Amino acid sequence: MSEEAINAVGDYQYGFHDPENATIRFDKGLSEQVVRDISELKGEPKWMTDIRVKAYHHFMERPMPDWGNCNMLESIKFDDVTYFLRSSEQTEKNWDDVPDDIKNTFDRLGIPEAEQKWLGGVTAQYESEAVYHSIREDLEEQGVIFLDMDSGLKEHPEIVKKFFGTVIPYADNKFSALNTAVWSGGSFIYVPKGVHVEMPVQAYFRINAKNMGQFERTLIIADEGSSIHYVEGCTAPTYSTDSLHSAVVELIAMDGAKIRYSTVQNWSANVYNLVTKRGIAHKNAVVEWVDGNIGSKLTMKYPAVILKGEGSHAEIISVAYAGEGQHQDAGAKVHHLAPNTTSNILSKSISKNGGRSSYRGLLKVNPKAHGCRSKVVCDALMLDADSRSDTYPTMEVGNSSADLEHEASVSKISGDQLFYLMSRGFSEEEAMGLIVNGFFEPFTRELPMEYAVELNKLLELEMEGAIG
Amino acid sequence: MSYLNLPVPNKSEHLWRYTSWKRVHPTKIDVVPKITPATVMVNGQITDSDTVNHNPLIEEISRTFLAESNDTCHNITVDEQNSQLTIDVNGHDAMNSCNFHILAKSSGNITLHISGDVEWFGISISGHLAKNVNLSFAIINDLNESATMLRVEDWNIARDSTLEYGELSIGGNRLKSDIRTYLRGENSSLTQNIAVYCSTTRVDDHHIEIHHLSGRSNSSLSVKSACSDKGHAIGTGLLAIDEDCDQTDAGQVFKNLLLSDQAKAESIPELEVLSDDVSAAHGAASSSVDEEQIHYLMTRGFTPEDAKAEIVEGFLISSFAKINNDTTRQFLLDALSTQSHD
Repeated sequence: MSEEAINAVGDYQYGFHDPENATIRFDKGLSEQVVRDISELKGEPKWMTDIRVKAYHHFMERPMPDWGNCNMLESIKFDDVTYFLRSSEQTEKNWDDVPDDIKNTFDRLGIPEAEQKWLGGVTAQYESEAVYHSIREDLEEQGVIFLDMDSGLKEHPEIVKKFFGTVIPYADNKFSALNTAVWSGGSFIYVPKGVHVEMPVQAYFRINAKNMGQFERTLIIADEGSSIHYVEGCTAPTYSTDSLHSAVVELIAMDGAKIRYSTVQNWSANVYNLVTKRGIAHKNAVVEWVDGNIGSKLTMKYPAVILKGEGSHAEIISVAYAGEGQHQDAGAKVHHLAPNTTSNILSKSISKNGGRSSYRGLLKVNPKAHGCRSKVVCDALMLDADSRSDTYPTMEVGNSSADLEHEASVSKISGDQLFYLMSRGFSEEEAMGLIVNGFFEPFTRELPMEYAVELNKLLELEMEGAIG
Repeated sequence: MSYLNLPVPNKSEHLWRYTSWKRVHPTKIDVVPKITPATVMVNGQITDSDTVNHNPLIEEISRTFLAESNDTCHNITVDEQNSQLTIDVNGHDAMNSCNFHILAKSSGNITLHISGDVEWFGISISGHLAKNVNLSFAIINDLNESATMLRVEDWNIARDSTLEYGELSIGGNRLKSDIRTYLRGENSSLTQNIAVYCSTTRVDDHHIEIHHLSGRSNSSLSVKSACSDKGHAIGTGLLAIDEDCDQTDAGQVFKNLLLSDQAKAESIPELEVLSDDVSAAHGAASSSVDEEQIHYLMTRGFTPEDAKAEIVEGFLISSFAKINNDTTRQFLLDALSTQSHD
C-alpha cells in the first residue's frame, strides 16, 4: 500500500482500492429491468427470474424497519447504489489466471497463502461475482460440491431449486427481498452423507468500487451425518460515499449433521452491512454461528437457528466492536420448535469513541418443544463516556418444561485489572489491549488459529489511542 | 395533545408488543367515554377527589386517556402528620377509574388495595419523593376475575431519597401496567419487587421502565411470575442510564415459573447505557417447578397439588423478603397468603 493510500485510509489497513476495470457495470439505481438484466446476463432459469422479480416488488412495497437505528437506515440512498459490476469474465481455478489488479488485492489480503496452508477450498468474490474458486481434489472426490452460487445454479439447478429461499424466503424482511432480487455471487456447498470436511473452506468478499452494492447469496447443505466449517471474511476500501452489503446466508443441517459458519466482518466504516443469516437444524444436528463484527458503519445482523429436529443444538457466539461513528446492532435468534433442543448464545461487545453496540436477541420456545434448555449471556464493555451499549433481549416461552436463562451486564474495564497488569510492567495501553483480547477470547478460541491471530491484531489496531 | 389526536400505537412499539391498545380500551378506541370515579377510602375515611384539569407529564396514550376520561384526582400527601396511609380503592360500576397524585414530603409508607366488581378499571398514579425521603409503597390488584385493568404510574425520586416498591398482581382477567420511575437526584434509590400470579386465562402485561438521570443512583427490580392453566405473564422492562450518570448501579431480574403446558411467559428486559462508569446488569429465567422439590414435600405428607402450591407461594413470597418496611411487607404477605389458601 502506498504512503498516499495509507494517509487516505487512516487506521483501517484494508482501506486501499484498485482502479476499477469493470467488464460490465450497470447504471446506478434499481428497477425491475435491472433485476431482469442481472438474471438474463447470468443465463438463469425462468423460475429464478420470477423469484427475483417478485422479491423486487416486495422490496419496493415494504417499508423500512421502524426499529434499530432508523436514522442511519433512512440515510441509505438506494438510487445511488450500483447493483451489478462484473470485474472478470469468468471464475478462475488458478490464481495466475485472475486479472493482475484483482490478484494483487487478494495477495495483499493473504488469501492465496492461507489457501495453501490451511484451507480446504476458497472462493474469492470481487464486487458482484467470484473471480477465483478452488477446492481440494480429495474433497471433490468425496462428492463435496463447493462452487460460487452462480455456478451452483448452473451446474446443480435441482438442488438449488429445492432449497433456495426455504430458510429465508424473500418476504422475510426488506433486505432479504433486496438480496433475492439482485443476488450475485456467494457460495454453494453440498456435503454428502457422512462426509466430514476436516479443513475449513473459505470465502472472501471484497468490495472495491465506489457506491457498490454487494449482494451475495450463500447456501450450505450438510447431508445426514456430515460436517463442514465455513469461514468468511470481508473488507472494502474507505470512500467518502457509502456502500451497501446485504447478504443472505441459508444453512441446512440434515439429521446428525454439523455446520459451523465463522465470520470476521471488517468492512470499512462507509459500508452498511445489513445481512440475514439463518440455519435449520434437523434431528440431532448442530448449527454454530461464530460471528465477529469489527467494521462497517451500521451492521444489523442477527444470526438465527431454527431447531426443527429433536435433539438439535444451536451455538451462537457473537462479538462486536463499535468505534467512532459505528453502530453494531448484532445479536442472535433461536427458535426451539422440537423437543429436547438446546442452545447457547454468547454475545460480547465493546464500545469506544462514541460507538454504539446493541445486542438484539430472540429466544422462542414452541408449545410442543418439551425439555428445551437455553442460556444467553451478554457482556458489554464501555471504554469511554461518549459510547453507548444497549441490550434488547426477548424471551417467549410457550412450554412449561423449558429451562431458559438470560443474563447481561455492562461495565467498564476494571481498575484493579489495569493496576495488576501495569504493576507487572505493561503500559496502560498494553494492559487495556490485553484485557480486551481476553474479553473476546471465547470468540477467538473458536476461530481457526490464523483468523484468531488476525483478529487480535485488528483489535490492537482499533485499541490504539484508547487511553487519554 | 388530546387523546383523539394521538396515533394508535402499533405492535412494533416495545410497550404495546403483546397487548394492543384496542384490548385495554374499555369501548371503541376512537371514543373517550366519561368514566365514573371509583370509591376511595384513605385510612378508613371516604375521600372526595378534586376536579382538576390535569395534563399528564408524558404524552402517552394511556396517560392521556385516563386523564381525559376522568378529570378528577386524589391528592395524597405524606408528611410527618400523615406518615402511614392505607388507601382502599373500590370499583362499583361497569367502568371505574381513579387518579392519584402522591407527594411524599417526609418518610412514610402507603398501602393501596384495589378491589371491586367491575368490567373495566383504570388507575393512574403520579408520585413525587422530595429530597431525603424514604417511602415504602405497596399495591395489590385484587379485582374480580373478569375485569380488565389499565394502570399507569410515574414516580420521580429526588436526591438522597428511596422508594421501596412492592406489588402483588393477582386480580382481573387482563392487566396492562406501565410503571416508570425517574431517578432524578444523586444518591436516589429504587427497589421494586413485583409478584404476579396468572391462573385460568389471566393475562398480566407489566411494562417497567427505570430511568437513571443522575449519577450515584441505584435501582433493583425483581419481577417473579407464576403461571398456571392458560395464564400468560408478560414482563417488558427498560433500564436506561443517561449520559453523565457515573457510579450508577442498576439491576433487573425477571423470573417465570410455568406450571402447565398451556401457560406462557414473555420477558424482554432491555438495557440502554450511555455512561461508562456504571454497573448495569439484567437477567431473565424461565423454568418449571423442580420435580425434586415436589418429591421432597411429598415425602413429608403433601399431596402433589399442595406441594406445588407451597412451592409457588414460596416463589412469590421471596419477592417480598427484601422489603424493609414491616407494614408494607406484611400487607403484601397477608394478601398472598389469603389468595393461596382460597
